[in-house]
Order: sequence, then structure tokens, then C-alpha cells
Amino acid sequence: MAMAPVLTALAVRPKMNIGLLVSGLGHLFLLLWMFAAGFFTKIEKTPELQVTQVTILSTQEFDALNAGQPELPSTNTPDMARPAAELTPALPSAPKAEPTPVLKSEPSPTPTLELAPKLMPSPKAPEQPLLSEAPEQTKPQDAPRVAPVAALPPPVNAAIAQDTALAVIKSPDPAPVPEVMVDRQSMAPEAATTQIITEATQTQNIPTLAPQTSARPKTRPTVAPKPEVPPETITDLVAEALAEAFAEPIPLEPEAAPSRPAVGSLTTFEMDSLRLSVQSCWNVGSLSTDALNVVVTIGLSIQKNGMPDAASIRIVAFENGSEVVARQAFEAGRRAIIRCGAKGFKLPKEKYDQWKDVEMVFNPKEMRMK
Amino acid sequence: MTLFGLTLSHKLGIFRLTAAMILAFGAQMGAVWAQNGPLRIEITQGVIEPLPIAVPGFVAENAAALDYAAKISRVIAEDMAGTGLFREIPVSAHISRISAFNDPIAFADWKAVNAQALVVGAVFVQGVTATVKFRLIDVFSGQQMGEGLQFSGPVGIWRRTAHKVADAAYSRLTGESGYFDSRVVFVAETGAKNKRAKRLAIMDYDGANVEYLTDDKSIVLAPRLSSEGDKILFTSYKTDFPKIYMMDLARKSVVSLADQKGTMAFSPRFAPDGKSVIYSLEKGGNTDIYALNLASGASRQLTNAPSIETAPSFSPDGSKIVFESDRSGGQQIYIMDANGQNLRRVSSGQGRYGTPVWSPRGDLIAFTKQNQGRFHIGVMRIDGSEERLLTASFLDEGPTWAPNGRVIMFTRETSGATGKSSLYSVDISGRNLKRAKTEGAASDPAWSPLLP
Amino acid sequence: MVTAFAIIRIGPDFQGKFNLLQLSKSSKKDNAMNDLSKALMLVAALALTGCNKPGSGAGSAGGIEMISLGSPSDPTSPAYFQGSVGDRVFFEVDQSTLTAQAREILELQASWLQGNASYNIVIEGHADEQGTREYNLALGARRASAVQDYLTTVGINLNRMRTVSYGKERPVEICSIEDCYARNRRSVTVLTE
Repeated sequence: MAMAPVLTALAVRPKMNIGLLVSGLGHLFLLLWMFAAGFFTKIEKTPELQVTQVTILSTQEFDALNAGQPELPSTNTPDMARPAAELTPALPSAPKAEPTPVLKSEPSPTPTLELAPKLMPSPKAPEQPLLSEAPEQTKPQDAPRVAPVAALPPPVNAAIAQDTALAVIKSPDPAPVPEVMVDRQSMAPEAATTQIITEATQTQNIPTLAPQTSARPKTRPTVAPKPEVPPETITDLVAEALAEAFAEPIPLEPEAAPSRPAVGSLTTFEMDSLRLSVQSCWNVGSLSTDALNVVVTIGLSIQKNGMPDAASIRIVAFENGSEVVARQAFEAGRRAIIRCGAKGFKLPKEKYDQWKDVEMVFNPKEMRMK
Repeated sequence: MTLFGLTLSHKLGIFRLTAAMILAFGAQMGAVWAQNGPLRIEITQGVIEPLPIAVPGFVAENAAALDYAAKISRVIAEDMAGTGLFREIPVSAHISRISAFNDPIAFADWKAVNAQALVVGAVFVQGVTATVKFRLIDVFSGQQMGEGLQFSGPVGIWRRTAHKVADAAYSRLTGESGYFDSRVVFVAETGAKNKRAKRLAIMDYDGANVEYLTDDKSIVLAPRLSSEGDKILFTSYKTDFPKIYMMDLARKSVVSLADQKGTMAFSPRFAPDGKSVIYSLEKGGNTDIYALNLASGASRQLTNAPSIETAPSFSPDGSKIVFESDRSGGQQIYIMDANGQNLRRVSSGQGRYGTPVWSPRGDLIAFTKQNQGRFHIGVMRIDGSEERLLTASFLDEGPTWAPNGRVIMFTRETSGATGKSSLYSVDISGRNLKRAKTEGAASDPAWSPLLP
Repeated sequence: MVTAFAIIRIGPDFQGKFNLLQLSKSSKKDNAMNDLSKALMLVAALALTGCNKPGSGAGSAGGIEMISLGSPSDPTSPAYFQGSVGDRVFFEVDQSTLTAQAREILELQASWLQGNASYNIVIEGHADEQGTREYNLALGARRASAVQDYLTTVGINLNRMRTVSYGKERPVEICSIEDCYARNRRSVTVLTE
């Protein structure tokens, strides 16, 4: 029907033929259909959040990852901020940092550590504005609660520096680094974590670790200091050494994953997660200015199920204050340990020997009001 | 780790592992220790929020105490929550009740309402004496915090006894000394700005027990307390000219000080030992700082400059005086020795600095700052560094320190024809800014030391 | 009659003196001076001796002084001084230096004072509310002193003058804008006996 006037119009133009007309109309129809179907609309990339305890990937999957690696980080950049916002409402009951990585689709398991600290201090909706305002908040009186959101990056970065070194060491050949604008602190630790956990569990995957990790810390070399030792040799050393170390049989508690003879020390990530979980319960709001000067070291024993043994919590040492104010500082630290450990700290059971006795140094230097 | 029966290659492997680890972890700050000794982590970040506490109604141990027990526990709860350092779990939310002082504590119930500390108390009234005892419980560690304490005093001053209990509980929990058993002397005001009637008044720091000390027939200004809390210095226009007077609080007797013909005197303050008074004397249009020996009545001039020197305040040890002077062209803060020597400037920065007051802890100076049309109360270290502004408004001035050097009270006046003055207090962290309870308008507060 | 006794008060009392003056004037007009009138006059005379002398020392009992204003058209009256001569000068923010306009007014004041030597003056210094209390007291004192100094240079004897500062305690305008502030930053010359 619509064709009729068109046809008549076209009939006026002798040069145009029907084939061209039909082709043009067909193209037009296709275009319209594509628009209607939303082909050209921006795909809202909802991150697929897979919460897993341990990342176990087969060799094939890793290869697939490698293949798809270079382009993906850049497109994921704008998504970094959103998962943080989306996660906070999703996990309202997480006053302690879940050390378990919250993974997005493959190349960005990165934001976990960045997210985790953001999760902890503000599990409740009213405190979400704190997240976005944290950098501007210099006056505690502006918020009912002061949480170390803005201040957390530095300690994470400290861990990152070391992780970076480790990560860089492990890459056999530094591949060309595409410019990625992802927040660097979110990248590296996850890279290290994933890799270390994988190491612990997958001795046979060690040869494949090297190429796998070379991709992730691509942002790092531009920011973090490079180690002086040429990466190749160190990587080889480590790879070889680890292979040999893990080949050594060491008695372990029987665990659900039998292929885990893990005996390595606690990873930075695991220690960070312990630290972060205690941190979120460490309330110094009621301490005197003198008590805020005291650095107190608290020793404790943790049971196998991750719960601290309250009776074992004791002062190991203190400095910068009298015994009286050290007591207040100790009590604040003890409350933090008991409250956040009430459901047990998330620590790897196979490394129980590493964390059955812990000393926590509570240093309020960054919390002090003058 | 100890491995026995190692082959050479194993040892080499371990050596390589160790070497690699040292290289890898070399740059970081001790978060990982080789597998010797307990795991060590450093916590440097925490949160700052009020500590949730519960103050269940105190147990009345006899019939005469029934009236007082509930009131005393309320005063204690309000004192502690009023500091901004604690948040009270309302009594209505409590699951268990305390029915006897030494009852075992149902820790699970208190954990359930999220109370982290508990103040358990009991009251016994015999004749004119009220005995109040309390103990503090750390809920999450399931222990009593130290020993309990007991206070006895005349039942007529039960509020003071309650404040003393609150001071002890506050001190035990925070490590800070308390400030609740204290009084504030101030000027009670009525009337519009151009018809202001002023009279001296004194009250408990929380607004209770107000007492008026003078009538409002002449202007009175800026009363200040002695370090014993027994005498007041103030400025009055009783003679149509500003002069300084001293009032004995017990006898309510008033004497005139430093009366010199043709001069005006104002802004007096006691020395910490109570034996002398520093003040400002205006002569021929110029104002300088003088010291008066109370015993001999002799005055000595401490500053001698054509600029305005006023608002002097002693350091807690009596060795130095901080004051304001406009000798540099605008009001700034200066410090000199108590004999007038070693005068040096302390404040820096934009704006005008005035009314400096030395903290009772000796570590900070509170002041009023005027900058770009706004007034601020601020604190700085005694060398002038780390200046921090705590408030901002149309007109804030005249800070005074709580006895523990942690809270500041000041005057805030609102603008306009209907503007009025009120007393406000703020923690030195800038938190917990709130109005002090006074019957009407009030200004020029001065905080007493902790009462004995 | 009873009312008359009630009004009479010995010593500095505004109410009493005013009525006494009226009473004494009316009794003068009455030709038939009865005993009561004479008694009243005597008492009145006694009462008036209890007046404070101006400038009788800083420690005086702080009474309220009174002068009769007189008629504004009478060039020797205080009303004329306040109205036509101008009893106040104004200052810039945080300043105590006299403007040219201020000096003109003060010269007029000086000439009036020289022509009316029976009056002494108290020079009040005031400040606006944009400052702290003690500083404003000192600033008001500077302003009053500046006026006093200038009046001395134009020939007024120092012992006719006293200064007082009220700081920011006695504003005449109570709005919180510059217009009101400008009128509060003043020095007022108050005539006394």
C-alpha cells in the first residue's frame, strides 16, 4: 500500500528501476527493525557477579582468558564504579570484609579489594552517601559515623606495591601494556590473590601462571617501582622453587579440597582481609586524646573455626602512653576483635598454623584528632 | 618450616623460594613474617562513632531511695550521652533488667541490644545521706571493668553525686577525666539588643540549679571563676564606668578592685594560684595589661604599647599569659611570660584573633576568629600551629574550657533586631555542637574546675 | 498632702527631683505661704543638697544624673546641643580616627561648650557588634579619647571632660546590616552638670 505512491513517484523517474527500489526499501526496513529491536542502543553491561570461595580455572579457561584479555579492561573501566554502588545494597550484612573475591566476568576480578573496604564501613543504606563524599569529608561532625573509606586506599596500595612486585616478577615477558584507566588499586591485589590461591591449589598449573599473570598487572609498571632483578630470572626461580616446595609432602588436616597441600604463608590478601575485618569494628570514637596516642599490641589465639579465643586476648606491648590510657586503647582493640570475630574470621583453614596465634598492632596515628 | 631428610635439590628449591620471597616482599612493611612467631598485622584505620552504652535504672536499695534511683541514673545517662562520645540504648529497648547490684549479667541480652558497655548501679538513702554505687561492665568481653565505686553525699545534692558517678564512668571508659561535676558562671540576658538587661548567674554545667548573683540594674560582663571555683571576677557599670569587681560566692560579698580615677578596667582573670588578678586597664584612650596583687592591692603594668592589649589568660601553671593585641594592625594572639617579658606572636593566618583562653591541660589555646564576615571558635597549639576552627556563625565569641580540656563552651548571638545570645558547647574535635540549657538568653560563660 | 510626702525623697532619685522642682515652683507662685509649704520648701532644699556633683569621683554612688533639656530653639539649651550642634560623631569600621566631618561637628560642639561653661561632658565611645567584647570596649575607649583629644586642641579644658566606653553594649540601632552598624560606631558627647 505504501508502495503504491512510491511506485507512482518512481514511475515518474524513468532511470530508477524496481530492483534498486526494492533493495533500498529492504535496507531501510532492516535498519528500522534493528533500531526497534535495540541493536544500536548501548548495552547496559550488568556485571555478572559470581561469588566464589576459590577460583579454580582449568588451563583451557585460562587460555581463553588470555585470548580475550587486551580489549576487555578498557571497556570495563566505566563499570568499576557501579559495582561498588550495586554491591553495597546487595550486601547489607557485611560489616566485616568478605575476603572472598567478588568476581565480575573474567579480566576484572579486580574491584574486589576495592569493593571490600567500601562494603565494610557502610553496610547500611543511610551511610552510602559516605562513600561518595568520603574524599571531601574532613570534618567528622559532618557525618554521624566516620569510616575510613577515603583513607583505605593507602594501606591497600601498600599491599599493592608488594603485590605488584610479585606480579611483575612472575610475568616471563612483559607484554606490551595497553593503557588502562582502571583504578590501579583495584587491579593488582586481586591479580596476586587469584594467582596465589591458584598456586596453592594447582601445582600443575604453575607453568601456565606466568603468561596468565602477565596480562593483569599491565597498569602496574607505569605506576609501581620495578624491581631491579630482571623479571625473567626471578620468575623462573620462583616457579621452580614453588614447584619444588609444593611437591614436598607436608602433613595437613584433611580438607574438602584434597589437592591442596598449601603450606605457604598467609597471602597478603588474606592478612588484609583479617585486618580489614577487625578494622571495621575498631571504634576509637570514645577514646581520650591520650589514648589515641597509644600504640597497643594485642595478642590473641584464634580457634580453628576462625573465632577468637576471648580469654586469650591480652596486651603484649604498648607505647606512647601510660598504662592507664593503654588500658583504654586495649579495650577498644579487644572490643573490635570480639565483635568482628563473633562469627569467626575468614581465614584459610589449611594455614591454621599461620594464624592460630596473632598479634595485632592497633596504631591510631591516622585516627587522631589533634 | 622444618623439613627433614631433604635432598640437595629440595634444599636448593627452598633456598630459591626464600630468595624469591625476600625479593618479592622486600619492599613492604612487615605484613608478612617468615613462619616464625605469631602472625602480626597492623590496624591503622578504624571508625569514629559514639560507643553504645546502656544505663538501666539504678536499683533502689531501700524505700527512701526509690525517688532518687531513677533520677540519678537518668542524670548519669544524659551526662554520658551528652558528650557525644556515647549513645544510650533506650531503657525501653532493654531485654533484661537489673534487679540487684551484684546480679549476674545476662551478657547475651545486652549483646542483643548492641550495648557495648553497661553502667549498673544502686542507691541507698539513709536520713540525709545518699549512697550511690556503680560498676561498669564490658559486654563483649563479658567482664566487669575494674572495681566498682561508691559515692556518698547529702541527699540534697544528689545531682552532684550523680555527676560524680558519671565522671568516674566516663573516665574509666575513655581515659579522659570527666567534667560533669562542675558549674558555669555566665551573664543572663533579657530584652532587645538596644535594651539589654544583664545580670550574673551561675548554674550546673547541664543547666540545673540556676542562681542569680546580681540584679540587672547595671551592665555586667564576662564573669570569670577562680581555680578553686569559690570566687568570681567580673566587670560592672555599677558606677557608670566599667570597673572590675570580685565576688565571694559563698558570702555573695563584692569588692571593687584596681579602682583608679579616670580609668576603665575590664577583662579580669585570676592567676591559677588565686593570689593575683590580670586585667586590662584603659588610660587616656590606650588599653594595656596589668597585674594586681590581691593581698597588697598593688598593680603592675605588664604591657606598654600604644596598641590595644586585652583579654589576658594565664597558662595552667601560671608561668605565661596569652592575650590579644592589635599592635600589628589587626587583632592577633600573643604570649608573654607572667612578668611581661618574652612577648611573642602566636597566631598567624588571615582574619582577626581574639579572646584567647589557655586549656586546663596546657596543650591548646581556644580563641575567637573573625574572617570575611564570619566568626569562628577555634583551637591552636600553644606555638600557634595546627589551628583548627570548630564553629562558624554570625557571631561566636568568648570560649571557655571544660575542666578536662576536651569541651569548649562559648557565646553565640544571632543576627538582626530579634537576635539573642545563647550558650553553646562543642567537643574539640568539632563534633557534638549543641546548645546549653539556660532559661533565657545568656552570654559570656566561664566554666569552673571539677568541684571537690 | 500625703502625696507630696511620698514624692519627696532624699538623695539621687530622678522621679523625686523632678517632682520636687515642680513642687517648689508651684509653691513660689502661691502668695499665701502656709506652714506646710514652708516645711516643704525646707525639705526640698535639704533634698537638693544631696545631689551628686558632676565629676565628684569615680567611686561615686553611680546615680542617674538629670539635666533639663530646655527648648530646642534656645541656643543655650542641651536640646539645641543635641539637635542643631550635633552630639555625636561616627567612625569607620575598626577605626578611631576622626573624619573631616567629625572634626567639623566637634568644632561646633567646642564652641557651644565654650559659650555654655556651666556644662561638663562625658564622652561615650561605642562600637558595632562586629567584634569581640573586650576589644570593642577598648575600641570604644579609643574613640572617646580621640574626641576628647580633639576637643582639647580646640580649647576645651580637660577637667570638664570624662570618657567612658560602652563597647558594643549600647547600640542605638539593632539591625545587623552596615546601615545600622555605621550608626552604632559613634562617640556621643553627653552634657552633664
